[in-house]
Amino acid sequence: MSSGEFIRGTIKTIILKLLAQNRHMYGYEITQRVAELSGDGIKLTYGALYPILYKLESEGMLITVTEIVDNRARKYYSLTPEGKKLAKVKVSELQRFTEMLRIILADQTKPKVSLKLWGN
Amino acid sequence: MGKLTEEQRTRLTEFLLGSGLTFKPLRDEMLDHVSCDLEVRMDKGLSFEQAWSSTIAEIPDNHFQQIQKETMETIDKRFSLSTPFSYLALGLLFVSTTLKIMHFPGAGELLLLSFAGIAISLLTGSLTGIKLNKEKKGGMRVMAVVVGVLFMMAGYGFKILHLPGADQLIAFSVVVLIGALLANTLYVYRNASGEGNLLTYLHEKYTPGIERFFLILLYPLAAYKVISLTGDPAGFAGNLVLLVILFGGGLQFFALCWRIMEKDLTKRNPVSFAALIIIFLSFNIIFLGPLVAFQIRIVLIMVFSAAAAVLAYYMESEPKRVTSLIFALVFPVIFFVWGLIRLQLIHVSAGAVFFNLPVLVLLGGGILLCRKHGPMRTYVIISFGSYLFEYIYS
Repeated sequence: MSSGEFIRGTIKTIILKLLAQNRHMYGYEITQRVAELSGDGIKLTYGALYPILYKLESEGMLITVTEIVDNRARKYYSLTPEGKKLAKVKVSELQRFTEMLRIILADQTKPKVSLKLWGN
Repeated sequence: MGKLTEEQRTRLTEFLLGSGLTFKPLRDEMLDHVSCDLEVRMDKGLSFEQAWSSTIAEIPDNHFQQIQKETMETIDKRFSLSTPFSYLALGLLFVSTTLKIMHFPGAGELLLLSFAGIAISLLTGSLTGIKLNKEKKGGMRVMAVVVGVLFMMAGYGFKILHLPGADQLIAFSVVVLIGALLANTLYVYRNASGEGNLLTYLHEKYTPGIERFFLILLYPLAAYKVISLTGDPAGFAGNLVLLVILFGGGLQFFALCWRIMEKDLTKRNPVSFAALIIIFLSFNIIFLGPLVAFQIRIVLIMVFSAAAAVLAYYMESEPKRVTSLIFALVFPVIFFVWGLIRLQLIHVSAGAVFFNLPVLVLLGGGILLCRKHGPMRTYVIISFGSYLFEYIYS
């Protein structure tokens, strides 16, 4: 499945949702969790993940703590109170959107019966 | 889980640097991310070389450069207010120097305006930074540095206008700056992680811009100095701009050292702490100018040059560059000889060994060989600026 184009607009929400469920996470952990939850259907690239993390951090939605793990700096992200509110809003918006999408797609699968077929 | 060796990590760091990842916070994250990736593959039975090949093969061309570009664009948007003022200040510094060269009126006024541009840029950048990063500590320490810088500029502004009180303003600035630098050095020394430190956090965002600012000013000044020497040696009109570079470069040097001390535990020790204090004390006192005896200032410049060279080389990440070692050895010797000449302990002709055009060209070009955004490059910028300042004595 070429999911890239679908995922692009939802990565922010996915990240917020994951961070809302975890005390803190680091970049690699986020990509692994997404892959695991999606049955390897969604693979976040570095390019998809980090600019969004930095953007959310710069908007005050995330705070970071760096710890030295295995002799290298590991940056953990967690939600600020504003970030938690945003996570709720974004998840709710995405759920509404996917529901609408489901209805639209389901509707398209129904056979189209129209009186126009009989020339009315 | 298998762990990468120091050598393997170094190889990865070099790969990331070679891929254009110059923004250190992002590079550190990539280092951790790719390391995790490699370690997981090695746990599945691959050798390091096999894991390396398969991991790198999955990374598209210019991927890291693109990430860095996108990340920097995101970060830059936050600080966009200060950027136009920085460029305005830069432009005014150029125009003011040009007017001075041409002996046209208005050079002093424009220089003052450029100081105002730098001041507004500093204030907007730091105040926005404090507002947007309430979770980080150190707003007062940031403002103390900013206040110190503003008073220093006000002092030199008063000097340009020949107003009374210039020396008092500069003295006050030096006291505030010494206090602020001491407080920051202590904070960095005592705290395990630099993540919560607003000052170094903000500085990291601005570092590439600050370095660019210095280099854009420095090279034309070097060319102008050489040209001016062919005519009237006393006619060089760029000394005040050089002072801006030296002063800004000094502050940049301290901030870069703090950041390294925050991130590399091995670099945070009593020796680097003491060296930093010696360096910023000698640096700031030099700016007191005639308030301090001439001989003492000369000795302080020699101390600064030697101590900063050692610290810059010590702070450099592995593998250290040969050019860094050369600079760390050459500049202190140059300023030691220069100091002895100015103290009249040796004859002025000894200066000709170091203060000549080939050396000037080599040193100026050598700046670009130093690692970007590192203390050594800043040390060389400061030293080269000072070298230009004193080039007239050759």
